[in-house]
Amino acid sequence: MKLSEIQDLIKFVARAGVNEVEIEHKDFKIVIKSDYLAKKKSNFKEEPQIIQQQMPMAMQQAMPMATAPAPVAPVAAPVEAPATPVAKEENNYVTIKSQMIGTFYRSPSPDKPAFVSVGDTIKEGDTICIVEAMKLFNEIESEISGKIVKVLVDDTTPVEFDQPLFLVDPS
Amino acid sequence: MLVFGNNIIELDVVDSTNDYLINLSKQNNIYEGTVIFSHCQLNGRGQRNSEWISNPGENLMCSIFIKPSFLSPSNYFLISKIIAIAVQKVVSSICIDSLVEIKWPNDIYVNKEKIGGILIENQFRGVSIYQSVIGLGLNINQTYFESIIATSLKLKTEKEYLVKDILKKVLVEFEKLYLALKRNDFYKVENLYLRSLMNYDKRAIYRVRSQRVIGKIKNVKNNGLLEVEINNSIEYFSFKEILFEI
Repeated sequence: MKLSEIQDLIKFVARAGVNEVEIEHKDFKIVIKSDYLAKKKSNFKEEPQIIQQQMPMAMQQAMPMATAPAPVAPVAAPVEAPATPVAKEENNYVTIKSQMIGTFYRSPSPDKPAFVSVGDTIKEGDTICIVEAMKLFNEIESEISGKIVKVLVDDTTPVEFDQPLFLVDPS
Repeated sequence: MLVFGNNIIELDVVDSTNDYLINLSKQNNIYEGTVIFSHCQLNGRGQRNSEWISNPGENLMCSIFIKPSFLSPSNYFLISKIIAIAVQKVVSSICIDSLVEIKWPNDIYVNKEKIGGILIENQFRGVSIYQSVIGLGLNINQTYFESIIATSLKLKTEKEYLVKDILKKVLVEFEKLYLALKRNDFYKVENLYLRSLMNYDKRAIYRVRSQRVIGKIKNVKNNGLLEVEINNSIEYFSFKEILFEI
């Protein structure tokens, strides 16, 4: 299952107000639970936040077509090989993720320069982007100090809950 | 104990009350309930890219400072709900013969004409908001609006008002509702919001994916999503995914 498909699924579950969705296909299993219904009585309405993925993380990259029939070479055998370079990078770097669904903005307003660019050094408390959700403009501040390695989302595009926004080298 | 409006910083002129308050909060440790109030705003902002146009001295332009870290991310729209309710309440107490409504997400309308707008800027660290600046623009004594359909308290009632008096009334209502949120009394806020919501539970025409549809608003979730019944099924919309035909 692609990351974007998982995000769509989470969005769908959130909007449908379904309590739990479980999809199993071969050795891939994803469970999306929502505490929306459970908490409804106590006036708490939360989006689904728990994602249980009972599969080694490396598999996700090894299985880009989870829904397609398995080719002759069994996809099933978990790839024990070391993680891909990307994953390795991510082990050293810290990913800053979006805490909400919304629109990602790199600058305070269209005529102003970006908060941060690749190569910039940031410190804790620096504003790095804005995520707009329902006319609420959320200025996201960095919790860490480091250097921006990569900006993972284009300016003014939609972002999902938990979507990686920046890759930061904390060293 | 919070007291909104005990610390009102009054300015003759400012670029934007929101920007001023955000900068102030970065330089000083300011209290919840601090309010910036300006007689003239040079660069007032509405939605990204759109300006809030106001004649000097005639309208209310202010920003309120809060620290709502007790709210979880999926409930942040409650901040939007409480300021909209507070303004709706004050306006309807003045325009007693008019229909004063909240247009989702948080604009204020009198007899289907816009009288006020709200722009909220949150500062986020980690998973929670540690501070929030609520910008409010409300038309009070302005009677001429160039090329936009808008109204003011004066146009509706033919009386002049002291802008600062209106501000104080809004702050009194806002504080009550903010304290309700702190007590976890979301139910009260949700109900008050729906009660004043334009088109709530009424059949009306909307534009969705450039199609005209008939829908009925059933709810606004605390993350802001608009719940609409269309052809006997429920759909959820983000801001700008659905347009009202007023």
